[in-house]
Amino acid sequence: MRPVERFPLFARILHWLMAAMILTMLFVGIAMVATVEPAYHRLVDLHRPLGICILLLAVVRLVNRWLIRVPPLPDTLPPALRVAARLSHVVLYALMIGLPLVGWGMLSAGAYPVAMWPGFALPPILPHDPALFAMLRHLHTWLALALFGVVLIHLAAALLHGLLLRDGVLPSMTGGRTG
Amino acid sequence: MVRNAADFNAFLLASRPDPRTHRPDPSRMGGFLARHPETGRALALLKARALTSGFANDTYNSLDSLIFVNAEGTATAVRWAMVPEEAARPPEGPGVGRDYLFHDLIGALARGPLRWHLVVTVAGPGDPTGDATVPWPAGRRQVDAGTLTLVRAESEEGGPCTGITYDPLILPEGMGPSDDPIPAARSAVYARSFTLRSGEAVTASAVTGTAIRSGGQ
Ligand code: HEM
Ligand code: HEM
Ligand code: HEM
Repeated sequence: MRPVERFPLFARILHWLMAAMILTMLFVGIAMVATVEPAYHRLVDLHRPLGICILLLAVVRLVNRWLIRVPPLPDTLPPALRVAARLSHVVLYALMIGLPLVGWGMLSAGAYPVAMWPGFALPPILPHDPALFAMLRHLHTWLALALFGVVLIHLAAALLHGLLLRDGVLPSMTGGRTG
Repeated sequence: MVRNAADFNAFLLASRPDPRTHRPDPSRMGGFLARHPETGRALALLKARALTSGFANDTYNSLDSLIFVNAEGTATAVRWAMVPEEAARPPEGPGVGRDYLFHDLIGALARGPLRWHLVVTVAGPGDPTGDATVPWPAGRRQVDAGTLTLVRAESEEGGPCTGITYDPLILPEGMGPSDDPIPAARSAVYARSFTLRSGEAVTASAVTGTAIRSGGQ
């Protein structure tokens, strides 16, 4: 067996940092729309800047991906699964960038201040338009649920590689050794 | 009237009209008031309050508190009121039509601007900030912080107030929420309402632009 080729350290750090942030965001999002207690306000105040942070990191990560050599998938993997793996990564990137942009855009269209921290708000990226706000607000929910779904499939695939196939895919991202 | 969102929900359920009598069921309301004496006390204060003849000469009190923070970072709890320059007059009985309060206001604005003073009341030690049902003692320090001048009315039809929501926690720098749970509940509920109504077809306005241009006639 060939030695495992790993993602460079910076790519791995970004992957795990963002995985933690995105999972936090998904749960923060669901928790905040489920409460009318004061926690609502505190969670939304966390949700906006954390979401924008994910947007910035996702752009850095995409650029980094073009610059590094991405470890190839094992030759043993059937072509259909290769395509699926590639496609799922494209969808993950699209959502990591699209979902926060929709969040920013919907608040702009609703004429809400896109507040980051006390005294600082981002400029609007869309004109004030209530119907557009309503559409984007629903889109934000659907895209978030889609991200949830794709992350679960991604996690299942990673565990399939790591626990059943025992190929080099999981260690390429964890930095560990093959079992 | 109530302390928090859960109590408000219970209050709405208790005051829901009975489908047969079309009036609230007194036994349900009585049960609520027995469990919530604070609401009974607040309703009594509301009833004892002198009504005025219209919108133009009424005082608008924020029962909920906010925190003001000065340049040195000192936080102070406040409540505020919009106090009219117009002298209060007692109600003159119901006017003409369903929307007479609106038409009176439009008529008053056609005669000249209306002004209110933003009067900020500073909390004393121990004044409750997280319970809007309890008034603060009289004699607290008050600051006249500014004047609101209304020069004309506008219909919601195509007006600038329709496509936004009055989220009470969108506050300028230096103001923040207190431990009062009602503004946070309103913030959450308004976001949901704003989403739902923004996605609906536009319906006719009760007070139209034409009614406003005719000066409330
Ligand atoms: C990766 C980034 C993001 C994720 C995973 C995410 C996730 C979510 C989720 C799961 C919800 C609840 C949806 C529902 O059930 O209705 C939500 C709501 C919301 N998100 Fe995001 N979001 C992200 C980015 C952003 C950004 C960047 C902003 C704004 C700058 C934003 C603003 C909001 C707002 C305002 C709500 C709704 C609050 C309400 O209606 O009460 N989100 N988000
Ligand atoms: C919110 C959560 C996650 C997101 C958004 C995410 C996103 C991604 C993306 C976009 C890639 C492609 C490589 C890159 O460009 O960085 C990737 C690779 C990978 N991820 Fe995740 N990931 C998440 C969570 C997880 C978790 C929980 C695991 C493990 C249990 C995991 C294991 C892996 C592995 C093993 C790879 C390498 C796959 C390959 O070589 O093709 N990820 N992830
Ligand atoms: C301190 C107590 C309250 C005050 C002073 C207040 C005042 C207001 C005002 C001025 C508006 C805007 C009306 C307009 O746009 O024409 C409004 C809207 C609204 N209020 Fe309240 N309200 C209070 C409490 C509540 C509570 C406790 C609830 C429900 C939990 C509630 C539910 C709503 C809803 C759903 C809207 C419509 C929001 C929108 O679609 O933008 N309000 N309120």
